[in-house]
Amino acid sequence: MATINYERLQGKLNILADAAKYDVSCSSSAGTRKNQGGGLGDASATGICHSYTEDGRCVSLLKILLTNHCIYDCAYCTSRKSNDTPRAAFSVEEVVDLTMQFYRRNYIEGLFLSSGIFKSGDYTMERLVEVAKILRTRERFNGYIHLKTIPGASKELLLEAGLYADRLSVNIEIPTKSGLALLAPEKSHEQLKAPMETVKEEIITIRESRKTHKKAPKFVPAGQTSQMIVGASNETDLQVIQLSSHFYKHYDLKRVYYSGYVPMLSDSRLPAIGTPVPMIRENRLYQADWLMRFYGFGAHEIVEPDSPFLDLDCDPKLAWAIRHRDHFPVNIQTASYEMIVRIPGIGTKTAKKIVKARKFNQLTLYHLKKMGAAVNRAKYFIATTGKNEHLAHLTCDNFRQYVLAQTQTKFKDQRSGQLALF
Amino acid sequence: MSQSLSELVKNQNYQLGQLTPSIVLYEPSFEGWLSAVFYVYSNHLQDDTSLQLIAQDCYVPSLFAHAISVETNANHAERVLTKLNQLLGRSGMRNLLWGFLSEKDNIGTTLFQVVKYAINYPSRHIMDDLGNLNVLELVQTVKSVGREKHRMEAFVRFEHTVEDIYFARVEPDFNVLPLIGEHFRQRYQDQHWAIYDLARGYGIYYNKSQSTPKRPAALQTITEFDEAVLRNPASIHSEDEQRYQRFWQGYFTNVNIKERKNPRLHKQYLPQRYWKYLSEKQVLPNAQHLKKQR
Ligand code: SF4
Repeated sequence: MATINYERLQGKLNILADAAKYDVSCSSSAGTRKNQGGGLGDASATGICHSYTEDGRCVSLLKILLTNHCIYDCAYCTSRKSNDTPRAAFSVEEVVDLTMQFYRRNYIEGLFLSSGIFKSGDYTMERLVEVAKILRTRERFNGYIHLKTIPGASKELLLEAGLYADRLSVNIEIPTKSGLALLAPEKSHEQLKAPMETVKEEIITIRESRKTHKKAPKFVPAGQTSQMIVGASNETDLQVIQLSSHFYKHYDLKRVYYSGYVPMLSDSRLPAIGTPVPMIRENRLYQADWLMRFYGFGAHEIVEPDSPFLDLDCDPKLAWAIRHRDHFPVNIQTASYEMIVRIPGIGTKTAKKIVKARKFNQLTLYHLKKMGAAVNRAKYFIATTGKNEHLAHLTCDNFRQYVLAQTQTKFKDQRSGQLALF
Repeated sequence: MSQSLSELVKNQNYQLGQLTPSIVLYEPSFEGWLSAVFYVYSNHLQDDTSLQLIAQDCYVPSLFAHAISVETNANHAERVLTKLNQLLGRSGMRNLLWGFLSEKDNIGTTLFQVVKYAINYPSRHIMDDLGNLNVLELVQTVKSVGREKHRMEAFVRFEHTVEDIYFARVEPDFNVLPLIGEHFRQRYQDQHWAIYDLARGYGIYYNKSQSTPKRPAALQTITEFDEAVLRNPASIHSEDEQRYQRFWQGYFTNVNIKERKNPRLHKQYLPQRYWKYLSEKQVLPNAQHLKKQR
């Protein structure tokens, strides 16, 4: 085993954690790896945030770059070749050691390993695979491993990576082709989608063979994800959401992550340094994404072509309800579950509780509040047994302004962070 | 409608005192509470609307209340448990146990009211009836306990000791050690570890030498712990421990995005009362080892 230089490791870790921090696709949920006995770790639980950064984001994985050296020069990336930044590279053993030691202390659920490209795609990808392989085979590590695929890496390496990793991801980076061409001329959507296609096909192949051979190897059991940066080029929300919807439908993606661009480099192609991070927009995109994945909304319902941006003043479900007042009020005693989850202020959990509890009682706004609904919003859209005087506003001309004025203050400050949804 | 419990009280001759107690005290354990439920039904006290079931250590004597202490009886507890299992199923029993571990002052009574409701309406899924205030109270309590359990699974920080044990100190709001043991037992099969609840003065210990290749070791309860060590665990740190704490602190600091700083959100997710035992919070913001240097 190669020796580890602990004196230098601290500095490297600080540099390579900093360089990886803009990547957001790193939840550890949906792991399925069980500790088979005697090993370390168990990734079968749902994701655990072991800490939260001062910006309020979940820390669940050791998220680092193997190196921030890079032969490419993507405009939006701090690791790009032309940026003057301290460079560092971990050895394979160093990453293995940090992962094991952090896991043993219950700091993390596992490893999220990405990298700048040194020498070539394959040279870099080979090392990422090596880390995962050693963790699984020599260290008997059953925690979560998420590897970022490196553009240009060969198919064979992708397939090997998928045998050790729980999840693979391919960043699409910039949502529009023209934006990507401008900011990362060495990359293209076609090139980035190719590994997604490879991974998807392998997932399907293995899924099929597991039906007949129970012992067939697992391949990225937690699926594949992608990430795009918003606000670095001039894409619309309509384009972003349509692209995500396309990924969910055609590449079997588990999740798409959105990362509000943080201006940190001066480049005439990019928003100037000091331009605020589009945090509300990012949050709205996550909410829209939830609507597609859990609430049965289609992309076309969330943003309509005649106004291609999400409403920053209210969440997309409330915005939809205000645009479609003819669907309301909804009678919670009789309406279908699908319609109840469309009521602003009622999430999937509350909707399920309502459907159960209404068998016993005529539900009132009071009950809904106790069950966790945000009644301050929901009350304008609900018919209950008693009289609901708030419904009078539903047909008013200035309904939108009225509702926003009444409900905004409560959730105004929670607009940042990935977790404050609905 | 205590008929369904009648088989429980068969062959029991209970002496009723002159005064009907409106307060039944139980020894502070789940078995103790179950024994109290048995007592209530045996003595037909269940319909007394002022009836309260209170843990002995929470009870403040008063002039006007009649309190009676019920001793824990394993046999009685077992019989009530069997009955409740039939009535409420696994998930219902889980609710009762989790609610109990909240250690809330009035939880004994709330649980009793829920149990009484279940006994009176054996064919109802009473746990779904959130319109019932006792059920609602229980469900909300279980939710808080669940949140605390989840936080403990997240915020436990093991420190490696000279004896090769990974040791953690916690002070949870609710008594969640019995609920988190299994999570850690599954996860940390190849290291010795212990988690100690300072507020309640006991801990759980996993001794890996007692595990087999197929089966993790059973957890042991530990009660006596050196006060000085609990106050200052650095005294038993292994050689490596400081190093990895510093790595973790450097990592934690450098993944933060300054431009998005949000102290309010930070504190909402990571409540300050937990900071005391989080290694990443035990560091000055400008410490040398947090810097990006080569
Ligand atoms: S290839 Fe990746 S690491 Fe390199 S500059 Fe582009 S985004 Fe950054």
